[in-house]
Amino acid sequence: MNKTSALAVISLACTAMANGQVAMDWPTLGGDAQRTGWAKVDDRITKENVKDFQLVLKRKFDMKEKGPRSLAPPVVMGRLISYKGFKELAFVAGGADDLWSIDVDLNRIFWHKHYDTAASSSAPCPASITAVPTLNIPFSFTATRPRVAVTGIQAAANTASPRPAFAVSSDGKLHFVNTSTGEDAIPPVNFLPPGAKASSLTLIDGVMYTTTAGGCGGTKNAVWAMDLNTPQGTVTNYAVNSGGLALGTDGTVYVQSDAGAVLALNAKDLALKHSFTGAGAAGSLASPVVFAYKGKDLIVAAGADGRLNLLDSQSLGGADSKTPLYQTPSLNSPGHSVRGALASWLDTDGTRWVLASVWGSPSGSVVAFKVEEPEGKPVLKQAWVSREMSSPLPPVIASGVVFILSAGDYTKDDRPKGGTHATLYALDGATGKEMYSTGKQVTAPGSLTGVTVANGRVYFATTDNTLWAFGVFLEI
Amino acid sequence: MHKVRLLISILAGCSLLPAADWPTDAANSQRTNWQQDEKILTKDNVKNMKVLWKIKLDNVPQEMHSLFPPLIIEKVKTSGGVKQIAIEAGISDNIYAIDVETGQLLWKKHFEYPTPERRGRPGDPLCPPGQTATPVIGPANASGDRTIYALAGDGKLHSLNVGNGEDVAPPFQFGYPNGKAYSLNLWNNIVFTTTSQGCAGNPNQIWAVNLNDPAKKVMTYNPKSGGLWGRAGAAVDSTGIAWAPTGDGRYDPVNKVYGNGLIGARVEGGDLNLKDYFMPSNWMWLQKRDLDMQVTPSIFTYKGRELMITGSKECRMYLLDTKSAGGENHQTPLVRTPLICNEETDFQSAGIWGSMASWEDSKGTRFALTPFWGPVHPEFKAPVSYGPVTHGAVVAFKVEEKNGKFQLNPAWMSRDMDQAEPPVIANGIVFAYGNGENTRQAYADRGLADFSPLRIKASGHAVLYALDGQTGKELFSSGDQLKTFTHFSGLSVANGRVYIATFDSILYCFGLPGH
Repeated sequence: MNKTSALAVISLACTAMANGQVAMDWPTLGGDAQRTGWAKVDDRITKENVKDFQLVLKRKFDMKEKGPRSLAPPVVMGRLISYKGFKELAFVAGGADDLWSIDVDLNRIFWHKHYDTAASSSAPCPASITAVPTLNIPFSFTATRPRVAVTGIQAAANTASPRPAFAVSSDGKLHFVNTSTGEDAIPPVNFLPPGAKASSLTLIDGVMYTTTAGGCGGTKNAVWAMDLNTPQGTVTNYAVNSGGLALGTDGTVYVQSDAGAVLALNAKDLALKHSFTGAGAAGSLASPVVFAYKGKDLIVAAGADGRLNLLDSQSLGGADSKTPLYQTPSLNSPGHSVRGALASWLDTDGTRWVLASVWGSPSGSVVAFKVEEPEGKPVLKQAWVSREMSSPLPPVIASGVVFILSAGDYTKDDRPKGGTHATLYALDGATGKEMYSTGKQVTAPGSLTGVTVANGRVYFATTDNTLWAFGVFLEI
Repeated sequence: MHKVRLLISILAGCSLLPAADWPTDAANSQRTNWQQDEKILTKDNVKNMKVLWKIKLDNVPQEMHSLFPPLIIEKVKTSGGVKQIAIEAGISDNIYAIDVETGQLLWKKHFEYPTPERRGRPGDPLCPPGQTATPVIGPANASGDRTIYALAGDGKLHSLNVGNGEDVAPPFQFGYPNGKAYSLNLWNNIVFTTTSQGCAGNPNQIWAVNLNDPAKKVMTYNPKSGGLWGRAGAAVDSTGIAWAPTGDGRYDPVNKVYGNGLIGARVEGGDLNLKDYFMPSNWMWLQKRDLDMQVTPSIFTYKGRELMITGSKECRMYLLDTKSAGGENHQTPLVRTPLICNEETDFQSAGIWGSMASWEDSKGTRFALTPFWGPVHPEFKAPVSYGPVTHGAVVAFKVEEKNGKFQLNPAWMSRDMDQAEPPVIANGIVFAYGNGENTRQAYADRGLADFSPLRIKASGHAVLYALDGQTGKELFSSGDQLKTFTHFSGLSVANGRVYIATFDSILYCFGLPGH
């Protein structure tokens, strides 16, 4: 009888899991450490209901700074059992060192934290939280690395706050944020030099990663790692001018340098493992994307010449460091180039997709590739090109639907043209067919900071410091 | 001589007056919490209530549970004569019989059984081991004897003589050991209970057994939810349908999943079959925020229709028709009130917990009452109220019908109470109490940390109130006479006495001295 009962309980729990009742996190920019942009579970969104998307959240933040990078897309904690109840929270960074926590179901500010720093501000080097915050990315059972015990300051932070968030203020301090209150769970620690302009944070296996750019605050452009499993937080860096980073399932750090190389760095100590230098032209700062494929990681990076390079994690460029597994024809054309990050997702039929955003004048698009093996070796085969759209941000994917924010018409130096506005599109991931568009509902240009998808909602910011979410209506 | 005869006649007449019993949790099978036969306590004299007696019982609390609401039976034959008896059940598998005139213990029964293989996690308030269901007392048999049906912690249903505590029938297996059953209900010789929280790995379902069945076949209906934890178990309507809230969970009727709803099941041909259900249209929201539908409904008749009221931690009240609880789509109540409390949408220390109450005054006005925990919702307004409500209160609605449409119109809101619990009504008086319990389950620095010792230490004490049923005005308060809190217990009222039990295993009897 007891066995039957236990089976019934387990069965009930499994049924709940199978129906997506577990709220999912979007813990970092791009959704995961591999920067795939793919929400692997989102049972609220389907190909059938995406046409019925509605404006489900709109909140303007009161801050002086405005522009295409003044407000970041949120990281989302799908469920926090807080002292005020169960919450789905979006953590939004922006303004002058401001961090907000939004109860997204009710569109209420749960808390707001302003960090008083003395950093000076300029247009290219704002005194702000430039890095999208992060949550602790949970260990994956599919990871090809051992589980790391939580010790050091990370353990101390976890003791003081069961599910902390992490943010770097403009003075370079890493804050361990109690997500219930917004207060520092433990005193912040020095991570970066003051005034550094950091890209999005990634915390995995107790190591915090970011990159710095622009030489802001006199800080060298580098990849940075801080081992939070040590008592003080040991910081290391590797000098390179790059865009954002992506991590392999074994913890390897991948970045694309502005010199045209893709680098593989050791987890934690950031020692150079190997590199790919066959991308040709220098200048691309697009973030690579990593995905597991047949027992190993594959990396896709966009060169400045507009070609996508498919790389083997075990030997990025082969024996000569210059030979990719596959190289696509260039997606660049006069006035067009690949921008931002790439994206990747796995269809239910096992098809692996890679998506690239192409900017251009008058319009850009998103190009989708399938990973195929026509001759026993993986290649990227172009599958579809989206409708025309202006300044498309890196796509995010949920339930086989590709969401793309067309940020609006931007100049070459990333200034929005007058009267332009953002439009969110939903495309069928298998065909690129348009399934939904926000039309003219969004009245301002889109921020160039990214898109988030979690639990039935797609979030983005506009240059007037408004956070928007379109999604599936939830009756409350 | 004539005077003596007259006195005998009067005394004989008194003994023929209908007994004001409280034979089951929430007063009756319909769980109205309404004592309809109270004659002694009045709005005028209730202010004079005192503690008539209190008795410290040897029941050992388990987690936060201690004693359940006592059942009151008049005219019980005992070895010491005919008495009015309170049957008090304790979590540690104890049944006590107390002479309500003296407050003296008449007998005690302790259910002995081998320690079950499984129990809830020690320290978890949700799953205490032992007897968790308030027993129920059946009608008198041909000899005038009455039977207590009590579900021991090993899952066996015992049948005891109210007069002496002796077994009147062999116990039989009805539930699972430490399965956390809720108050028993008895209707047409069928005993119902509900279980919840998967305690000790046991299923959450409605249970029924027909006492007339020699095989004592156990019938169940499982809605595949997180738990049917209406405090007073199931309420039974006039057709024998047992209505129970299903707690947390999903709604997926295709797969017969009915979480966050109210289901009605009836015994038919030896099976317990689902007959109807109501599912709030925002069930997904309730699930997401852990705002369970978990309130035992009250069933009553109004203008010839059998209606019921229920609610959830979300803190709104539903008026439903027992003939079609949610209409054709099961999601259309007769009335869905605005939010009464819980603006924060908190799963703890806020919302409606326990059961509902309903009564009708002499003018035929039907009242529907709900308790709630936490601050009143800023947009909820009652025509009569008594100061700020920050910890909880009781709200009374009038059930009305205008132009063929039912309405629940706020009548009054009580004074602030520290976590108001289900009220009971007697002779136009609403008896209510703040349980004084620390109900916090999650903390800013720890997250979810629902731990009995922590909560017990942080708890205060319960306070009993008497309110004017028409206006909600406070008529009586026990002040600080009760020394500890109550957890998942309740009130009982009969024959001029109001009973409340506290965590320290003390049963208090309030009433009018010298009456």
